[in-house]
Amino acid sequence: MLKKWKIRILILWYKALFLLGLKTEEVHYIGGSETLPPPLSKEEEEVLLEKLPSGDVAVKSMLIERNLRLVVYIARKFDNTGVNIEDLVSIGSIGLIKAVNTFDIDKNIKLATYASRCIENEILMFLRRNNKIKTEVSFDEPLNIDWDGNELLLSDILGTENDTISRNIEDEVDKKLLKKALSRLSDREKVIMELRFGLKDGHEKTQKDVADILGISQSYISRLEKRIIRRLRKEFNKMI
Amino acid sequence: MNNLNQHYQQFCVMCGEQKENGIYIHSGFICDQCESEIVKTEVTDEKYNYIVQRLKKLWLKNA
Repeated sequence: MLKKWKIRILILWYKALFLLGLKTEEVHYIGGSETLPPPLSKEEEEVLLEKLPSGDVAVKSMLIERNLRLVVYIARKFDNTGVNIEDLVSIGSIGLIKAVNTFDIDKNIKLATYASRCIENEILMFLRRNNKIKTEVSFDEPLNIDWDGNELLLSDILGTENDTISRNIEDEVDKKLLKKALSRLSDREKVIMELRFGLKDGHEKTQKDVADILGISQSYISRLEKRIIRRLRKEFNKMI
Repeated sequence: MNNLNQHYQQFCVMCGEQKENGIYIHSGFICDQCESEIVKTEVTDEKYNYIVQRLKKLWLKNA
């Protein structure tokens, strides 16, 4: 009974401090020598939980503040996860604020029990999200930086040249156009081009070879070749 | 008694604005709007990391 009166007086004291704007003067460090406020006794918690639905800020503040040791205790359990303790306490505090805001007094469960679950859950969710991010790699992830400060990105290695696809299509179109243009040449001109550029068997022959096959001079083949190419160019220009 | 709920405006550790209503945790003040923002923010939300950093102000002077 005495404890219940004590906590009621404490609520009034808190309100007085809020009124005077004195409550936020003190700053403690998590690992510092200053101790956090002690946890609430059963009776104290009962009084505060009765008043919680009224939305009294002093009550809510006390419920959060007097459970901060729980936050630090749980946060320290996750100290080996690579996340620093300040972050863990901050995340735990979010869990505690959520716990006090969502606590249902009718569920017949201790606030500390519910808050522990919320704090731990909040930290676990954060760690899970962090692990997920760690396994995801961005295409723009820099793999290395050279002496000039140029970044080698993952996309530089995995990506394809911009024209890889279009280049093949263009080659196909060029082949069709060439075939069409060649069909407009005379038979002898067609043979010269096929032999010189290996259009049929893929083997290019020298002007001398072609000259020997056709029984004409190399210089004549050279003149004919230039003329044929000029004609083909004109045919191409007409088609494009 | 109700008058006691009205207090001086304090700087919220979250939004940095001077507000009248909110909760006092340890050494800082969190305004009503920011408190409900904290409650509804999931770890997957973009602003979650921001909240984590701002809440450090409750503990550390230079956070």
